[in-house]
Amino acid sequence: MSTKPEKKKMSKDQILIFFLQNRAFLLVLIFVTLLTIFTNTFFTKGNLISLARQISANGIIGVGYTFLLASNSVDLSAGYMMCMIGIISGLLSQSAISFPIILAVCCIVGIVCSSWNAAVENKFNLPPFLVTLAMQQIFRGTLMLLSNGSPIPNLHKGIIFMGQGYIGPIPFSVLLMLIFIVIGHIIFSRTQFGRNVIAVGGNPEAARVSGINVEKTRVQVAALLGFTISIMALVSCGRVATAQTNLGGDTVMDIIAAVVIGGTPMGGGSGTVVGTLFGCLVIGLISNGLNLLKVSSYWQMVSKGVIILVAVILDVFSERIYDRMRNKE
Amino acid sequence: MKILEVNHISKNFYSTHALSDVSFDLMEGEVLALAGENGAGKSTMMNILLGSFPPTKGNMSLNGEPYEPKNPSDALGKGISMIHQELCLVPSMTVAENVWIGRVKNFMKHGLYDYRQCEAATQKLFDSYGIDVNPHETVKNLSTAQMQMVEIARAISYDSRIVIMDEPTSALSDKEVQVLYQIIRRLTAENRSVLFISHKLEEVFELADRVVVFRDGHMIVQRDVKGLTMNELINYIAGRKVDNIYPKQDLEKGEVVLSVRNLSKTGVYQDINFDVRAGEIVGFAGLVGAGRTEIMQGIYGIVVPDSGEVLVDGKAVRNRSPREALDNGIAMVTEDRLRQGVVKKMNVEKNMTLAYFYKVCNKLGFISQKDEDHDTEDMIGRLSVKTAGKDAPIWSLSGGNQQKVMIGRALMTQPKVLIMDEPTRGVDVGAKSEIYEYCNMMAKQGVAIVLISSDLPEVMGMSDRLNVIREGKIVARHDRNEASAEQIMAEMFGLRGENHVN
Repeated sequence: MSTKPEKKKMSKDQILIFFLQNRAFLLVLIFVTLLTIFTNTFFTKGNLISLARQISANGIIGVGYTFLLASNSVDLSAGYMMCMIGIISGLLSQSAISFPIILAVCCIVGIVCSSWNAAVENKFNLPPFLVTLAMQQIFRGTLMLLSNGSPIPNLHKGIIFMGQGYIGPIPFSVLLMLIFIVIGHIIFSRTQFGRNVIAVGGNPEAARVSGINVEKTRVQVAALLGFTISIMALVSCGRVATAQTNLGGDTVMDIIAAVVIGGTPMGGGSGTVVGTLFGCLVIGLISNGLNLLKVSSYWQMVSKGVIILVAVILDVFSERIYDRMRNKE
Repeated sequence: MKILEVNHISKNFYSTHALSDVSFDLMEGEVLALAGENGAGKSTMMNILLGSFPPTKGNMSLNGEPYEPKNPSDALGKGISMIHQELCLVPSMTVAENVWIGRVKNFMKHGLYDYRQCEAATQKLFDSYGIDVNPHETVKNLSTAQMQMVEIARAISYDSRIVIMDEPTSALSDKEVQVLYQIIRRLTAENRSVLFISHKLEEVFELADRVVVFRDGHMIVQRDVKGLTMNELINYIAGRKVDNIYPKQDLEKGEVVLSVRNLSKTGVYQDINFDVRAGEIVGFAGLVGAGRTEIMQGIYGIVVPDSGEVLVDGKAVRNRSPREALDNGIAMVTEDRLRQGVVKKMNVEKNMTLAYFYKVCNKLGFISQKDEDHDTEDMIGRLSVKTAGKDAPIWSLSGGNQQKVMIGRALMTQPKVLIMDEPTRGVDVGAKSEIYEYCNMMAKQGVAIVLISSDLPEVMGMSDRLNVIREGKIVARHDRNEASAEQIMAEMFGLRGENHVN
């Protein structure tokens, strides 16, 4: 008697799980449909390319951040670290240093700073949240000291190309993002490193006992994140042709939101790089769509916050459904 | 007069029978001892009494009325309080606040909490029971024994009809044990009842009026302690089980594969020496907390020992991490499947290959999916894991089959030495005998096997040689069928004057 409704519920759970797993893709579909209906400017080539360019920077760092969240860590300092690297690239642009050297210096700074976060967390067994909260302030102060608090114009043309250049009809930054997504996806799903990351995020004790070096994996993830932060810094500075001092605050929020909406859980243990791309699209579409609808940018903040909240709630919600399914087994 | 009656209680966790058809009763003003090995079902029974989870079958009555506690605070409201084995105190609060936790509203003055009243009430309680702890002290500054006394004071402060004590003396010194005995006698004089769980069998004789013995989730006997001898009690606890459920095969033994020399870790284990030959199963018996798991974690590099040597094939190896142990040919199936074993978000395949997948990676670190799939399916077949497929989520498997995946994880590394820590815990009977078959299979292939188990008949039935561990030392060594369960049990509990062997 009681089996029948239960069976029905079971399949309902499975449908829910399907929607939750593909939530970013579905949200993108909904937003695109709505914007196509309610505006006549959305589905134009110019707007779509500007949308792609808007999300390209987030898409690049999103790859690194997907690995980070999947390993059950978090980094609040990423935004100001990016800003600081932008300022460093701006300062280097002022002297006659060649682009490859600027690129190399920026990448090294990013990798070292981010690895440092993980090393401190490992060494003192501290939660990433606290360490990166402190580091965020250090990066912020450093970038202000380096720039005297004012933005740096006249960037090297290589940096400007990274943000504004085109290869054929495709913006270089968009191409770069797609390359990162594809390579990131392959590393995440097909390599030893990717497997180590989800093992460390899923159950660090089990990973350690199975011979995985948990601390080393965490540093490697941070180094990868640092690399994507550096590239993102150059792309986003290049796009506005200036090294800004005040971009750091919102960046981390947007990226965590994108990764979580994309389907990588806050608690780690699994992740999807392709999902993160759709997560970035959701965030991009909110700004783009509300701009087209001529809604105040303050409302954009509110709606982004709402979407993040909903994403986190959905994240917990899908865990609960999994638990419910588990308990029925 | 009967205050509590437990009628035909059964409890299943998935396919595991933790309790089957348990019945006993408790009289007013009585001390009833619960005895049994680790995993015999005592804790499950206590959790049901406290309402932590409901029984699958059966019912209970309290004071003649049906008793169905919804949660521990409901049980408390109905007059059952418990002293937990692990300490449940808030370290940053004072002794007095911990004793009266959740009942601060009794100590209000002008609508504000008055700590003086609270401490005065605590002092009064302590004085009347002879407890010597300062109520004003912060709990984190107390010794473990003092914390245990605070815990005890809290349990009796509820004026409950029944006080359950789960190994209350394990953290106490002799002086405090005497205080506890006085408290128990005082409680019974007030016509309150005490349910007492202990591994120290002398305490059962000293304190209890009656004893209930649990074994493998069954209630074996309930009888008066008067007239009971120590040997009879040990017989009840250890039991005599059919030997043929352990399909041990006598195999030709090869060379010594694993040697452990003078392995020590201060305060945990001392001077551990033993050898394991190829094809041999060496068992370790001992109570939980005796140091069995810690020794194995030392060998496997989870917690590095202070001194001593581990030799594999006669060569000294240093295992500073599980990675190094695995590289040296030692694999381990860990005791705690949830914490150190299963990665619940991974599927069966990824769980099974977790310690091994790096071997099917090419130089660039790409996993060869073909090899991984092939080897996983092969292992699923060899261990006959019941699963919907290698891609099924790990949580969709029964406990026994999850354990098979954990064993498969160790076997895939093709170890020379396999350490199995409680490989059959939480596993149903069918899967148990399959796991014993794997032991034989591995032994036949020349693997040296170390088997740890709290289930004495199991470790006796499967081992070629048996080491008994107590308080971090090997206190006895036996060849197969040399010693009786009673003798080994006595050595585990430290009852007889055994000679130290090294």
